[in-house]
Amino acid sequence: MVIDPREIEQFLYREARLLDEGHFDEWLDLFTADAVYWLPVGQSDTDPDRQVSIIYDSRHEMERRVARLKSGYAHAQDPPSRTHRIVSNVELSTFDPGDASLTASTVMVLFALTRHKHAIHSARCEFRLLRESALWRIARKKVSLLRSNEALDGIPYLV
Amino acid sequence: MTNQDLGALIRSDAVHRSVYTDPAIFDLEMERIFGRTWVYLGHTSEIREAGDYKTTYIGKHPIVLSRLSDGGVAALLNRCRHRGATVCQHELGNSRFFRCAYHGWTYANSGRLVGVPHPAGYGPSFAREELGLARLPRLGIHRGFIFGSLAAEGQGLEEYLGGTKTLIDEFCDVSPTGELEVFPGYQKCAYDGNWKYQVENGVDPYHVQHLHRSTFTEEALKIYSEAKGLVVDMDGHGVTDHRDSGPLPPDGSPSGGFNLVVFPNLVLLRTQIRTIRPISVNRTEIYTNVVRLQKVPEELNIRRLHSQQFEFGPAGVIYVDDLEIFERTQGGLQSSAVDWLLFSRGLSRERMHGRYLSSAMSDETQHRGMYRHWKRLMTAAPASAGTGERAQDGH
Repeated sequence: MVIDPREIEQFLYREARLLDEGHFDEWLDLFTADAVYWLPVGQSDTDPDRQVSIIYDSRHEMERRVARLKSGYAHAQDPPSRTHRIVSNVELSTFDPGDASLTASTVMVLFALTRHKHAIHSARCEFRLLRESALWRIARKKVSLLRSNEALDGIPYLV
Repeated sequence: MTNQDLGALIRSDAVHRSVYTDPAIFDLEMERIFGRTWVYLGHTSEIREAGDYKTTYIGKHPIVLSRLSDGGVAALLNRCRHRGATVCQHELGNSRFFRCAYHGWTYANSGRLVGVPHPAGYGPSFAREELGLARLPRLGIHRGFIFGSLAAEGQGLEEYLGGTKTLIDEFCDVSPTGELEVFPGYQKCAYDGNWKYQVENGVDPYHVQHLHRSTFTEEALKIYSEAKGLVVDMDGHGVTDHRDSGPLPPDGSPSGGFNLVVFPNLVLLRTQIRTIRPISVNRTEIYTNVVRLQKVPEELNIRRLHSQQFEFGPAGVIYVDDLEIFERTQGGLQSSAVDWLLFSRGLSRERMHGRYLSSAMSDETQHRGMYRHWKRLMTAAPASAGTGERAQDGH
């Protein structure tokens, strides 16, 4: 299968935009049923079962996070943060026809305004994407924040 | 500010807003609380092997904890005796020596000064043995919990911990070996607010069903019902005791056990060792370790780790709302139109349970106890003149 890089880029931009616009259910729909969402603490962390992470969610926990945001009691999102994400430096691995997957690496810069407080996060992201019934799905999203091992102000929005 | 002025900020049922907002009071806290009493520094499992070190802080003082070749622990000021640069730059590591990058002064990890380039320039009276890294006057370890004090004299650690020693023991005894380890890595958070909000919040059952309504299930909230458990002023430290619902559960679920705040900077709850680091009157950092148990199935430790990092840390579904409310509180307290924060819940119904003043689960006996402790420390004369904030020369 020949992959058009623009198709992957558009997919990644859409993932970012769904979060910026607060379309959390549509965002969840981008992920596989056994997806993993990981924000490690250490830049060289490899084992989230043995090292402390900022986030290490299964699909179930991602759904709980979204349910919380929609519960009406997510106080740290009252009012909701507004965010802009810039997705750049997209690099793709070759498509593996064995499990219909590829890996996309990006740099993401996130600007977040929570009430009057402005935060900037820069991150290296890695997406493992699967081709399922002619659609791309995210099997794994890893976000390595530049400041992952610094004391961080609350991150009540999805990254 | 006189001691009388400081004492008047703590009433039996209320605390004055300036305790959270006045930079001069913050500076006095660094001197009279963090500079005189016992401060939690780290866990022995973080510096297990000879040469292991960890950098941390007591108030604003940069500290290196190091494991010596004889198995002992040294707590040193991370400050070159020559011109003051920090000599150890990493959070955790292993080294037998610390070398200042500026002029090459080199110290053994015990603090002893072992190398000075071109020493002849200092003349014959140069007292190298007096110029080791300054050593904390006192270091104490209880069940792997390392505490340090910048004061040469005063209450010993055991006496200072008082009844909380037994709770620390229970926290350790969840591990079948009686020993704890910490998972590598910290969850590190920060907020624009005073450090004492975390002290209060670590033992505050009253808030859970309101602030954390988005996350806690009805089942989990049962242990916070008024009919059960106690809040306790335990020798000036804060405890919420839910052990009537069961002991601390090994899987880290919120179904029993207790929360403990060892004043001023240590919080033990569920699977966590939380350390409070005051940065300024309106800025605080929180470093959290997740505790591993020894000789239990690996799945249990993985469950402990995963549940804690879903709920806590800078993106934790529970903790983001705590961080938010700390900042809202600092915002509200900017108003000088209302002076007092209320700490009066349970005043009429608190009673002695055994040795300790205790009350119903939603009450504030534990907070009042910690503010009496704050007042004692803030209005006390130093144990002996001149030793209050000065570390001793190391050798």
